[in-house]
This record gives sequence, structure tokens and C-alpha cells, in this order.
Amino acid sequence: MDAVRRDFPVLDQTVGGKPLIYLDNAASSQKPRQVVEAISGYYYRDHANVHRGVHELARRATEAYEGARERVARWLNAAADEVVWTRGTSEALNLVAFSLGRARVGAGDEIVVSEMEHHSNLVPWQLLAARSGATLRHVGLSADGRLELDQLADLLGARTKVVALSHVSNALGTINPVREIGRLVRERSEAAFVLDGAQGAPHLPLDVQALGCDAYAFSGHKMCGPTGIGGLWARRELLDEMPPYQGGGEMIERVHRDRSTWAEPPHKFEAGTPNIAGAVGMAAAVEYLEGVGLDAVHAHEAALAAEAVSGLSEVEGMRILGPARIDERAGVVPFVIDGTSAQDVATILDTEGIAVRAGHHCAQLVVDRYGLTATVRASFYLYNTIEEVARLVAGVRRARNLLLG
Amino acid sequence: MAGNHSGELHQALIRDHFRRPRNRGALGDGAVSGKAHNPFCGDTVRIWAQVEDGALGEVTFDGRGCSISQAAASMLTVAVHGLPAAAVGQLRQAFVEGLSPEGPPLPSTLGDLRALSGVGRFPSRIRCAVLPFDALEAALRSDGANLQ
Repeated sequence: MDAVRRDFPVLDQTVGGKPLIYLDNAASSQKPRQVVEAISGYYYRDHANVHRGVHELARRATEAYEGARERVARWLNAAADEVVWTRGTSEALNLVAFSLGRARVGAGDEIVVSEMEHHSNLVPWQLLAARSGATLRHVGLSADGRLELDQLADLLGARTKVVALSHVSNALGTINPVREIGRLVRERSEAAFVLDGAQGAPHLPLDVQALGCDAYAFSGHKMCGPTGIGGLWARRELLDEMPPYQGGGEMIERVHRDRSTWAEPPHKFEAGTPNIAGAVGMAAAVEYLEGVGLDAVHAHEAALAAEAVSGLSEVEGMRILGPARIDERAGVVPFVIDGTSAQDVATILDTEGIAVRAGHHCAQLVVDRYGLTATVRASFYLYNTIEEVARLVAGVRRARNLLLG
Repeated sequence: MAGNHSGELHQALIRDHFRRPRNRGALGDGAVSGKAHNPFCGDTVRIWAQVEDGALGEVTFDGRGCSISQAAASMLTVAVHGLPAAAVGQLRQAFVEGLSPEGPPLPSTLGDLRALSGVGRFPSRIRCAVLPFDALEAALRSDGANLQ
């Protein structure tokens, strides 16, 4: 782990005289040198616009950009022409909601989401429902933050056109039983099964074929990559069926005066000059994480989460949200302390050099479900240590004493 | 020292207003009321005010949220008692300017609200401190609407 930490220069600093402890990874991860150097190397040596040029740099930039797509496809266990670059998970989900919505969803149809969704996997479907006349149905949550699968089974039927759920919840830490859900969706409906992978992709070994979903959205910046890049994987049949999302350069085959024909997927969905350097950085991030091993990353985070849950549980008035079973929880530990506000706790932790997040974490249905307005969320990544978890627990104890003592 | 920041932020007066809020509860008929909400943390403050001849009489609040927003609401109800309603805007401006780390000192008309000066070090928390002013101004706007 020391070797991993050395790859992240940002971690080696003090904040207010205390060593920085970065536990806001579910919001965004830090970047290793390897990723930063891949991006700067691309800009220093190879940059030009992609696809259109005959000159050397245009060739190199195109190779870097399409090579990055192939690298990411290999990580997902998918074909490169099934990977569409986007600005991130939000754009990927908006894309699929818009284009799949156009192709398949109309008045009287149903879209199934859940109460644990991030607003990115909720609002695009609300917009689609408003536009199409379809109805949004919500799968509820158990007291310990798991999807009510019986409810899901009851909601599924001939009218269900889309089931959109998170792989891992950013607000609860729950790892959803995606394969089981995929089987259920296929047994009981013809729906497309869309997964929000913003919190799954960075932390778990991934194989989209084995997951049994039809589309998977992910972000670079939560998995050691740069901001402004991410992607949508979708089955080729689905991408063929979906109309374009935005119009412009790159996405056309032939343009006439008042109509055009479209490029083949994935370029059909990539209007305009893309984030080439972002794609290069994303591929470097995948290379880095696979070098460490996503099994090892997941095991490390599970150990940190178990330690955090056990340490924090000892604090008086503590309520930890999410699955009671530690093997159902990713490295995300949201909590509240009776009689304190999440903002106050996070501010005091900040004075200890500990970066956590307080709020609804863009999942308002979750805090509503548990009768809260905000939680404190500590979220771990491969570079966090067991000592940092101990400092978190001590910091939380101190915050409680300051606020209530 | 980092430890002093939290000490400063949660000095005795803030804690006292948070735990033993002054003027908490609703006012009945004849009072105006307004509400403010911070969607980022879910904090809410509602303020009731008696306005007579353009001056603030009894002012009360209710709400839910962090120590800063709730203590500030309690402090505000005390500070503005007897003040001309038209002076609230200026008081707010003096408060917001004074919270900025390079800003002028907070004037004595702010009363206990001056204890919140340390909040300026935490830019994300300034919103919490100013929230009760939003609620009071919303209440006074509703009064203006009623008069028309």
C-alpha cells in the first residue's frame, strides 16, 4: 500500500497542520502520476483533432483516442464499438434515457427505478416520463438499505420498458445483487436493464457480459481518471436501435440539405470534437487499476469499511446507514449522530485534516426514506489506510464531544 | 492551530444559542412569516415577526439544521427586536461583509451574531449563518404584499 500511496502526490500534504486524510472518494478520487503523465504526454507529443486528418499527429491522436476505447472495452469485457465516450456517468445516463426513450418508451409504458438512485439515474428518467407519458415506478428500500427485490418482481411486467438501477449506492454503500436482478428482469419483462456504474466501476472487478445488464454507465474521475470523461457501454443491438443523442461533426455518415444519415455506433453518439486527452487519461486509469488488481482494491476497501463500521458503532448516538452485512457494502460508510448536524460534524473533521462529505449526496430519496436531511459520508479507496480509519473514528468521537459534550 | 478553528466556530455563545434557543416557536395572527431552505444540507429556518408602524416587535423562529443556522436564527430574533423593518437589508449586508475574512468588523447592532465571525473561515458554512436573514426578509416581503 505504501507503493500505491507514492503514486498519488496529492496525498502527501498537511491541511491545517494535520496530515490530509482524503475520505471523499465517492465524490471524486485522486489521480496517480501515471494518469497525469499519460495526459501531459499526449498533449506534449501527439495532440491534433481525431479522425479527419491525414497528417502524422492526427493519426497519432486518433490512435490514442480509439486505442483508449479498446483498452476500456477490454476492461469491461465488451467490444470497442459498444463503448460510447461521454462526459461521465450523468451524460451517459442522459444519453441512454433520451435515445432509448425515443426508440422504445411511449404513453402507458413504465420505467422502473429505485429509492436509492443518485439524481443522475433518476432525473433523466423523470424527464423521459414527462416527455413520453410513461410512468415512473420506484423500488423501495429495506431498513438496512437494500433493494426490496419482492417489490421489484411485482413491478415488472409487459409495460416495463426500462429498469434503471445503481450497481453500488453512493449514499448507502449497498452493492446490489445485479446478476440476480438481471435474471428477474429478463424472466418477467422485455425491459432494457440499465446500470448506473458510477460507484461500481471504480471499486469492483467488472464484466458487463456476466452482470447481465444491457447498458452500463461510468465516470473516469471516480476511478483515478480525469474529470470530464466517462462512458456508456450498451449492447450493439441497443445502440443500433437508438437514434442519435446530439448532432454535429463525427456523428454523421452523409449530410444533405435537410436530412442526414448517421455514422455507425459508437460514433453515432459522439457529436463534435471529443475529449481526446480525457480518453487517454481514462485508459491510463484502467491500466493502473488493473495493474493493482480490482479484486485487491475491493478486498482492501471492504476491510477499511468493516473497520470503520465497527469503530464508529462504538460512538454514542451513532446510526450507520446501509447494509448490516459487511459483504454487501462497498467502501462507503454514511452515518449520523443523534443531536448533531452532518454539516457540523464534517466541519470539525475538516479541522482535523479529514475530508468527508455532508449532505444528501445527490440522493434525496435516500435521506427522505430514512427520515433524515443529511448524512456524513466517509468513502474509501485503494490508497486509504487502516490508520486513517482509526483517525476518522477518533475525529468523529471528538466532534461529538465538542458538539454535545 | 487547526484545533482552534473548531473552538472558534463553536464558541460558547453559539453553543448556548443552539442548545437554549431564544424566541423559539410560532407567533399567531397578525404576525408575518417567511421560510428559507438550504437544499445542500436540508437546513430550514422559519421566522415570524410582528411589524408595527414599520418597526419589528416580537420576532420568533423555528427550524431544523446545523448549529450555525439554528444559533444564527436565535441570535437574529434578539438582534432585530425593535429595529425598523427597513434596516434589515443593511444589517444583512453588514453581516455578510463582516463574515468575509478580509471584511470590516461586524457592527455592534448585530448583537450575538458577531460570535459567528469565525464562520468566514469555512466558506461553505457562510450560507448557514445567513439563512435566517433570508427567512426574515421573506417574511417582511410577505408583509409588504399584504399591505398592498
